[in-house]
Amino acid sequence: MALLPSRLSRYWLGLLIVVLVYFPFYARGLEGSSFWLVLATLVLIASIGAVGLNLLSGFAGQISLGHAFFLGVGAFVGATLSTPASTTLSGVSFWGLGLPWWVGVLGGGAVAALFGLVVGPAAVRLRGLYLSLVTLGLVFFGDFLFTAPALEKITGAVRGRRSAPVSFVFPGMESAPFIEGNSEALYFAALIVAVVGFVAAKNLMRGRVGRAFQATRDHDIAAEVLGVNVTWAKLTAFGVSSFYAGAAGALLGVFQANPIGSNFGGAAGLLVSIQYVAMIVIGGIGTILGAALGAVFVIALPELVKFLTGQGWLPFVAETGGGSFDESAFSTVLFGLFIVLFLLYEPLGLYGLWLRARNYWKGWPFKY
Amino acid sequence: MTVDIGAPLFAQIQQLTLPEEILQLTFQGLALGAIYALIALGFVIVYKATEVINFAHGALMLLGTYIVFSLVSGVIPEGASTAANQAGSNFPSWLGWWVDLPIGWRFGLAILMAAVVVGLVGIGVERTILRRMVGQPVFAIVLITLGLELAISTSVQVIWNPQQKVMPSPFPPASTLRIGNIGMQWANIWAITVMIVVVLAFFAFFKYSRFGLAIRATALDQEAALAMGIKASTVFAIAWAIGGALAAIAGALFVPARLAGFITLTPVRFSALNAFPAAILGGIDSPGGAVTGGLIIGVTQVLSSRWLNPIFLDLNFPNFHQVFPYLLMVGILLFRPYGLFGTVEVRRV
Repeated sequence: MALLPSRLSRYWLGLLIVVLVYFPFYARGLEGSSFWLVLATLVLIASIGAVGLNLLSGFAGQISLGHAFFLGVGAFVGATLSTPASTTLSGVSFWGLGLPWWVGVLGGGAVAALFGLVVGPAAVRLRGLYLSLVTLGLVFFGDFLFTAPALEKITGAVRGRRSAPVSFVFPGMESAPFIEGNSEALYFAALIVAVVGFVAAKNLMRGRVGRAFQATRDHDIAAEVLGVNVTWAKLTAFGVSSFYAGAAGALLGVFQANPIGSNFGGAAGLLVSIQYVAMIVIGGIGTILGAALGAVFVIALPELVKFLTGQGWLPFVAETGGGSFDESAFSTVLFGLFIVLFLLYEPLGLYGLWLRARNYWKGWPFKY
Repeated sequence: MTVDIGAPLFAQIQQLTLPEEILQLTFQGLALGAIYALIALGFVIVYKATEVINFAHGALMLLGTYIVFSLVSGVIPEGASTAANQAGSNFPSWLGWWVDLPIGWRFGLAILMAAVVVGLVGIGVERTILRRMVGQPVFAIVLITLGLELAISTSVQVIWNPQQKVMPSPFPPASTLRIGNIGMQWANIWAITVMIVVVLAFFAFFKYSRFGLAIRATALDQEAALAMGIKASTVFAIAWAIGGALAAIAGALFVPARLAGFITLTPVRFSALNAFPAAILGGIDSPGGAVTGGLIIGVTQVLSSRWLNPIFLDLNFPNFHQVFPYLLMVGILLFRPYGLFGTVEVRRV
């Protein structure tokens, strides 16, 4: 309970959780209900990954462009654990252990964390710029690894593999109560993982680990002088962050139904990594809530652009495929500009804007 | 579709004896390395003067390449995209003298003009955006350049449309100089020549000109340089201009030498990322290191694609040469954290 300092914040958080739980049932009645559900699910999944990156970059100060690689590891390990043994896709059969979805999420996270610990020593030797370039190499290594025919049983090589839908069916039950269909089940799975992940991250950052991370970020030599084991802090940061990315990746693999390796590596993977970096920058570096806000923003932006174009409010933007300046190009340019503008004018991102607005109204009508 | 940046260009290599093959591939590696060296030099000059790693370098390369394309072919953005434009019939009549120039002159002059334009873009970026970030954490500055990369390269894609284009160039892909059994493509020979000229000019500038001295002084100790009356803002602007110009030259050479004259967005944009290992390997603040690193990466990448790829292919891991530069970089960094020729940073609390 110490996580929530005031009664008011407890009240708001309780309300938020009620809204999030009720959302799919509300969305059933909406026009285009699946669209809203899919969007919400994507936001939840992205926010899990963004929280992980924020622990690494925002709290421990280690720049990573390799987040997509860990997402990919999570996606394929998660799918391997949770699909039934006889899964096939266009003639190729995959390894599958048929375990419950949450084992896939935990296992995906764990294996990604192992990979993170392998990269960790580089982080101990290198700092700042050098580290960002080594993690950039990880993205290219991801492309090499995920599309290799040697791992076809796990990753499906070039064409990707199948993943099994999430199910909440317990022994002795025909179907899960209240939940209709695979996409609602995935939404609840993502919601559970996100809530657990947020609470864990918030808790971890309040304590010894979080302080060690922040001391390492602010000045690693000074931190070491003060008795922080910097090597341990950097390794832990990489491990924990990769675990979050792996868990998010496992859910993303389920979401995509056919996760393809080249989406997590190479040029496409780099864009995914940049999107996650954009989430924590736009949301607010070094804040847990900011990661969630950033995920909402980054996932919703293309949809917003699509909506505005559909309404005819952006006459200079073509619909997807209707010309070179289409919706996706426009949203990518916007991403780039938003990263630049936020860093220039509001380094704390959306969270900073929220703080400003709150402080303004707190003292209203007085300025201070 | 991806283009194998580091793979050998010739299929008929099998007929060569082993020493000949090594020579042949080393030559191709040197050509690739020359381009990496030019890109890496761009990273280094910007880093040395301003301590910014410029992730937008690939985007500047892309911009330079397309400007050269437009200047040579006369295809102004949007619209046509095919070889039909090679004749240069797209120019207005008052530019007839330009079309009448031999293709080699047009190509060379276009590169110079593109270098100037992209150099100006570099100055603009520094003035409007990065100037405000002086003193901010490295993290934020790196992210800014990543944001710029997205914005610039998507804009280029929008302006010139993403379809593949043919760069009219003075070196047709098939034209080679044969010495014995070894075939050297003219595009590659020119890439190496231009690299040597540019690098010599760069070092002469760096060593003997007043601006070069100012850049070196600022890199050594910014405050002391300021106290000596060196304008840091001028130094930053010059560094970005040189960085942009090098990006444009590298882009224009890269297309005929490695992509057989086909301009495709992704390989050009990401070839800059492939040159990162070169800059890091040599030491990010050492121009000489950048050139050495570029050549090492280029040669080893081509040689590895010939002799290491089959080994990994037997294990069912294709395309090993694409990760090879990064593995080499990580290997060297673990033993020499500041690269081969980089300055070891002394850090105090």
